[in-house]
Amino acid sequence: MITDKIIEIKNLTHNYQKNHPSIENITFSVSKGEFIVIAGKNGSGKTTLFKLLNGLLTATSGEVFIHGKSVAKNSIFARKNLGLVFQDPDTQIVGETVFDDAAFGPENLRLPRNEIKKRVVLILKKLGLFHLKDRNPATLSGGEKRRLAIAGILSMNTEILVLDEPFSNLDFSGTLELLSYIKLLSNSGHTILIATHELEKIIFHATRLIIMDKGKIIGDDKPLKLIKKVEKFGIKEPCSSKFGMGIKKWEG
Amino acid sequence: MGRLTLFSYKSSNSFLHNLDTRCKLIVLSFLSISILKADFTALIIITIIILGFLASEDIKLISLLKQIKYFILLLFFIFIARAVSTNGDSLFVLSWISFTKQGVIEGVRVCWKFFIIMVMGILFSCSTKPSYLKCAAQWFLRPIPFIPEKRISIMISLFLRFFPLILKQVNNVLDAQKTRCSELQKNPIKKIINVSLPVLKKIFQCADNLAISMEARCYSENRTEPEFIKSGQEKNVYIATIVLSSIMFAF
Ligand SMILES: Nc1ncnc2c1ncn2[C@@H]1O[C@H](COP(=O)(O)OP(=O)(O)O)[C@@H](O)[C@H]1O
Ligand SMILES: [Mg+2]
Repeated sequence: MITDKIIEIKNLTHNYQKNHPSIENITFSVSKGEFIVIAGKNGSGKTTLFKLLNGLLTATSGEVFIHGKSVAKNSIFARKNLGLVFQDPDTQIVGETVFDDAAFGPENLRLPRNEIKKRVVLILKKLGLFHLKDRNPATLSGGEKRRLAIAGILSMNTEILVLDEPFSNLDFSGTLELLSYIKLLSNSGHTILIATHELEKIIFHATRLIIMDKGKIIGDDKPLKLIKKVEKFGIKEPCSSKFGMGIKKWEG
Repeated sequence: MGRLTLFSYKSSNSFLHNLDTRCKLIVLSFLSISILKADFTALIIITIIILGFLASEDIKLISLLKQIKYFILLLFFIFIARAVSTNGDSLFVLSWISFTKQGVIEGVRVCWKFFIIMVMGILFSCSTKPSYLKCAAQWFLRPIPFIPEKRISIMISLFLRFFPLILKQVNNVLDAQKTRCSELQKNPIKKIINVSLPVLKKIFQCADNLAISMEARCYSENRTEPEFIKSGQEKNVYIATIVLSSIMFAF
């Protein structure tokens, strides 16, 4: 099956406990280069959906395809193509130095040493971490840790980047910095999915907004068309939109 | 963590830093064993060499002594014990304890040896990245059958990575409980339970998240082999070590 859709999700349902679906009958697809924001209040099923996308969880029914290949049957293929960055960077960073951590993924892929070095240097430079390459990750700032978690994924040459609540625990300047790097990655061709309940910070850059509530998708459209409805589902509507000025850049 | 600074890695470009970790480990164990046989001539020689390395690593002797002051106190007790417990010609008598000449000489010799071994260990740890040490451990374990050296090496690195986090977690829990007057609790067993339950819970959560995120990064035991950086001086170092060891056995 060859399509231009890089992710296809078909009737996806998942229960942690019997008859309590954490996500229910989700269907949508993603094309190359899209920048999608998935919004929903806590417990709406965003993290569960993401874990299903690269085979960390197995669906109760339905299926996910990446480049037309079933994720359930090719989980390594899925993980190479779809990089998932979790909410808490402290439990994702495994290396003792920034460089070692970024090299962890490529080492798992058994790449030759010089190729690993090339990739890691490239990605650390791209995310503004190269000058920190010998630092212990524990000593990095919140924003730097978050970027390192992203670097650890991108060093596997993943084209789809999936970020779960990337702005949690970040201060104002950390958020600004992270935003600019996410934009940069989007501009350089990465397909991006971001789960958040802080719409305001990111929505200006998104090409598409998906709203989740109680495990279901209840809205999937251009941000401008949906933004007025979000508060019904427990998500804060951006101020600019509230005051009738449409969607403005959060960073000013 | 301040008191551990001496034992932790410092990045630099010195001779020791660039040496192959396996070579450093072999030399370290070789010298530590042969130094037990050494006498004063050999001790003087190796002390001069080690002072040279300390200088090249930019470690000040004074700050080193300050940081290992408890170890030095221990050496002092060893010295006293030796000085009074060895039979020989009495040097002087303090109340009823007599210090013998042979005892004092013996005490100096033993303490000097311990001190040198300690300093060699410090030189090793501040010039060796934990990740290189881990690779070396994996390399040495490889020929031993039934030992999963790759799993051990990833465990070492995860331990090194998460140990400080666990300590931090314990401190956070302690502080949070102190603000709720945990000091008033006098039962030590209850105290331990109060601290260890939240810490353990957090550790298990972390471990779970960690396992998932390692899986997301395609973790398997079949990884790229570790790489060893060689400075090209290893052969000379081995020769120097053999010469030094022979001196220690001879003098
Ligand atoms: N490990 C788990 N075991 C049981 N239920 C879970 C687990 N993880 C999440 N859930 C439940 O699944 C639902 C969706 O959770 P989650 O995907 O974490 O939402 P979100 O990321 O949007 O906050 C919630 O009702 C939550 O209680
Ligand atoms: Mg979540």
